[in-house]
Amino acid sequence: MIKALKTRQICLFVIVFLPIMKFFMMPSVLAECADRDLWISVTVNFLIDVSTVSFALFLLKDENADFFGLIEKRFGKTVGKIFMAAYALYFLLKTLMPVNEQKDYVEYTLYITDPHLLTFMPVFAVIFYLSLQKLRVWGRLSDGIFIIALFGYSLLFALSVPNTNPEELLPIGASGIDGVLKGSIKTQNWFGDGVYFLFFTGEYVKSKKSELKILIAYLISFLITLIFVAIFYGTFSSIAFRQKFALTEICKYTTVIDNIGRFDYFALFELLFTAIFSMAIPFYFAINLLTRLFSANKPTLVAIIVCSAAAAFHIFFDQYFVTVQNLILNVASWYFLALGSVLPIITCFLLKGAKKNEEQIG
Amino acid sequence: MKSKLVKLLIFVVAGVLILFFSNDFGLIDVEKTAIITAVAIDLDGENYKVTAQIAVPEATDTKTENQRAQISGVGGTVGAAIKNVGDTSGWYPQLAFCNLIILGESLSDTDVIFILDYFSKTLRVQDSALTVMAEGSAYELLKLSTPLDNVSSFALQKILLKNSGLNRDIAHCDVKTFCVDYYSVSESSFMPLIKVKSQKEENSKSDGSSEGQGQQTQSGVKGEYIFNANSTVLFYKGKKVGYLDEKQTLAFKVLKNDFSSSTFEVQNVSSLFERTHNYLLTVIKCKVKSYLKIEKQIPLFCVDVDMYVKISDENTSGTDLDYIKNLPLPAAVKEKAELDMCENIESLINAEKVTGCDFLGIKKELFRRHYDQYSAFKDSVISSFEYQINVNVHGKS
Repeated sequence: MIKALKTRQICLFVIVFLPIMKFFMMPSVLAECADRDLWISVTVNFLIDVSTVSFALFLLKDENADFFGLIEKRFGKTVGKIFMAAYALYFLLKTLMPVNEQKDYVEYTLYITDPHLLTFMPVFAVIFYLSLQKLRVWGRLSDGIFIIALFGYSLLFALSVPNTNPEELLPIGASGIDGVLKGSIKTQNWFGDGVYFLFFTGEYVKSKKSELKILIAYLISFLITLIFVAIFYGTFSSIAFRQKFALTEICKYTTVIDNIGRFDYFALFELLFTAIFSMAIPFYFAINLLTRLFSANKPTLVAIIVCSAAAAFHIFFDQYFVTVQNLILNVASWYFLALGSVLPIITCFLLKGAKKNEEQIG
Repeated sequence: MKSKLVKLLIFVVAGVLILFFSNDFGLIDVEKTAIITAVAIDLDGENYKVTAQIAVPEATDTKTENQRAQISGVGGTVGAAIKNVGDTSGWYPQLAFCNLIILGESLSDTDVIFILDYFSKTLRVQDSALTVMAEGSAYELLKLSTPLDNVSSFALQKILLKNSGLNRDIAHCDVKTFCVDYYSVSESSFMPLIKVKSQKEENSKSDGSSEGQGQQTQSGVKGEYIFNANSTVLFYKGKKVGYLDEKQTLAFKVLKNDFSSSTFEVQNVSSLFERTHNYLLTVIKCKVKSYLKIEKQIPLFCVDVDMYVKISDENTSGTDLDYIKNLPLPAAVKEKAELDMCENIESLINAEKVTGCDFLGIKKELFRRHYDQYSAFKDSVISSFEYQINVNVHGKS
């Protein structure tokens, strides 16, 4: 069986597409809860995610199907369908914030006047197209976009570091455990990165030390996010909680920008380009699961329905999105935590146990 | 033929869609766009009076055109006043290029955060814009022209933002910095005070006469006025609580670690058998370490300054060529420089104690480095802290 991905592509997928989603609204939400300890909340979320990946990596090491295929195989189709439905809902909910964040970002920061509501909607055509691609296309995309993202991340950090005061992050732990955990829970929508790996188990060519390489990729992804939130707080400190569009704001205080102009937009556009693919990822996996759930031969119809429904949702709820946001951040976060980390870890153990039983019976 | 028509139709539809989705239908006529380069804000009764200095295509550097480019609007909030500017002029106020916000002195008794927060929170306004307070009316200040530039906001920016190699003697502040300081544990902020000086006044002062007062309101006379931004206004909880004079502002820049490549004047250096001399020292490097420690339950603010200087000028015989070389720094100059800097820093610290404005960040230091004792000292630290100043001036011996 030809595997869809190479280890390198999974690593690049994690490094390229996962951090950028956390660059829009997440830092301000974190600052609101955890204040200067926002980096601790990020670390907590990383540890949760990396545990999910580690368990999936080592417990499902010798499997030849993805997580959902294994559940169907070991626990039966009904359990498999329940899992698929639960995770389809998980990914559909996960699409809401990124689309709205990027829509607001584009509308408020890139246009002189308020553009029409429909201006952002063509993005759903791109998402629709990307949702119909095979997993190996995402592997190639990771290869291709890596350089663009790398340049974007590097320029962004290089321009913003000189204006950062790391002392703003002191004292460590002033927000208390409550603030840190609140920040951690509230931002689950942007984390749960371990879940993506569940689709890759059994779908990639294992190379020498591939487990270690994947874990390092998650570590790099975490470091990119950590550096960003540290720079963010070091730049805005006491007003960080209200900086909803940090990506645009973070570089502009550097002297070189004053003298030359906003050439940081090179980095911003590269990262925005990368973010379009990142935004499409939860759609891709939701459509993938719904197609499997309904045993649909062609995912096109499923993709049309999902993308149209999402576009309609964002048009209809445009003026009421604050309510949706509160629901996602305060209520759905627990669902994200349960399905993004707790359930996969438990299921990995159950799958491993079921495999042992099979082997003993066999 | 039919297929060609279909292709053409597809291209036309695609073109229209691109125009629509790129918001080109929402494009504003450039001639109806007012690019605001600076705003001056004064208190007008209970309302804000916002005067926008507008760069319009027809504007020239001449006096009359420059005056024409100021438009005022009044409103209960800054946003409303800016909207009023647009309503009365018919221009769409474009604030993306607004680099200077001038607050009138009439605002000093109100909480200025209500004004600056507007620029900090609104995405279409730069929060990296410089903020200053005018001595008197901000509107009058914006109307003036100077020998530097007929457009007052450009002239002000020239003196506020100096390149390295020039004196760092202005405590410049932007909207973001002001807001960050305001919302910090110190609740203290600062901004430069702009004083307008008539050149006639300056000249007459040098001639020994006292003529020149009261001419500041005669605005718009080309090149008649100059600005001085070497003093600083201090704010506590958004309200003005005091000033730093020029020497204190200079010491403040030293403590903010922004003094390298600057110059430092040492006057009246006396040495045995010689008359007193004045020296101009170039600060090659200035290393500052300021920290707060708590000793025997008393907060102690320690300042260690190491200034590496060379003589740039002195009022004795000697040619300019001598100063290219690093001349030996006489002990008397070194001692006087250390004494002067010490006095300036001490006076600066006393200004913090008197005004209650924590521009030195003592409370922040307490919060960051001594968090366990923060609640015990937070209310008393500004008035009760003691200090220890150690200034070392190094030069070629």
